[in-house]
Amino acid sequence: VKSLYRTIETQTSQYIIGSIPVQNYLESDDVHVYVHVDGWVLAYYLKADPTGKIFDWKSYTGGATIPTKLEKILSDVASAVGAPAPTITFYHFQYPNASNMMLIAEDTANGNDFTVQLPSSYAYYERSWSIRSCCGVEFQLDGTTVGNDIGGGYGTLSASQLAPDVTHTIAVNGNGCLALIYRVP
Amino acid sequence: MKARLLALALVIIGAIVLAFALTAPAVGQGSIIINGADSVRTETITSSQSLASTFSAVEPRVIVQYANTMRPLSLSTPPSALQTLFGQVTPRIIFQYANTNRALNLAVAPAALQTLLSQVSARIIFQYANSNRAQSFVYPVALIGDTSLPQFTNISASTAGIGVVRVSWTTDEWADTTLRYGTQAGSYTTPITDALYYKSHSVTLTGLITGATYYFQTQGNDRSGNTAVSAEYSFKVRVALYLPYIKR
Repeated sequence: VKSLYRTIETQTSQYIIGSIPVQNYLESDDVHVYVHVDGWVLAYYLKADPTGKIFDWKSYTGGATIPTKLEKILSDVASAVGAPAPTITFYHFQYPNASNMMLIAEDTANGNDFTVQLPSSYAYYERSWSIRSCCGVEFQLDGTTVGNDIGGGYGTLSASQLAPDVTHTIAVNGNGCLALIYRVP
Repeated sequence: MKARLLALALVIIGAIVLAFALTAPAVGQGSIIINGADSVRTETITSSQSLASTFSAVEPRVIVQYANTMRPLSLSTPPSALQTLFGQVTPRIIFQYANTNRALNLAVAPAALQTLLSQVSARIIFQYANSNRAQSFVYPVALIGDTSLPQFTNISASTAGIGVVRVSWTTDEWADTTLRYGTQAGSYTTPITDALYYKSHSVTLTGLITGATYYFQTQGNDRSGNTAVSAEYSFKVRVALYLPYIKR
């Protein structure tokens, strides 16, 4: 799989760590990948990046599936080594008490907005967003623009911005995604 | 002949000008110029103080003209009995011109339904989104391959009130929290646990016997399932000291 890497950070006889480009994305969207000879493949972004960055807006077509860049790279690595489609699980190492991730995506069909209400009994560790990073796309929360396609097209929301037990309206004039990291009690 | 006619015309024009000058009234600069009037009378206009006072003293009133009849009536305050009656009328929805109305009392949901509602677990509610994806997190135990036990440091107990002691410690990795304690060394009561992972742990014990010595152990399980138990520690619950206060 070495040929897939754009940059290699560490390489031993057992494993390789580096970053692999995601097709049709900028270098800043490269996914970090750990591949071990025992068969483990770990695709990840650094902890400074919000979870919403994993949203693959170029592959998202508005259907039931919300694709992620991490899965795309895992699939590419599996293909490169001739392995069958891998069984994929998710984990957020920064939040050991988080139990779930939810992605809510919107495209330009059937309106450009949706509403979301978070129960106060859940513990929330991260609220983040991601949008198509071009063409003047904006991410609006309750009528206020909180982000645009300048600077990567993703960011985080504070607890007060997306407070629980309140119905919030999120509007995106292009492909966009709200990502939640939380714990169900 | 022409010269004689011209001289005669000049004499006639001069006579007309002279006659006009003799009949015109004497006027000064900025005066009203009047021509051809038989008489002119000039008066000075002055204000009437007494009439102005009279006008201001006239009260405003309804001015009626051309009516056949007029009947002024004074409006009086309703009698107190009627006012009391008004105060007893309960507020209600007032409507007019509706074809039909129907008032229904809303009953409290039956107990069975309330129980059912209370059993509905909290969830994230969203509408109109094109797609959604809920993903559970799974810690990759085999990938991490961690077989090291959590290491305890900074184990301490401090008084937090009368019969209240706070036991705290730290671990070198994310681990859950368990504390076992009792008044006899090596014998502990029901443990206090917290399933969440921390690196700084704290448990507050309440209802302790003042003056008694308690023994305790800490336990932690890391995310890979490695369980560590500390050595036994002890603390003595501080006796509350009450001083009499005498007021002279």
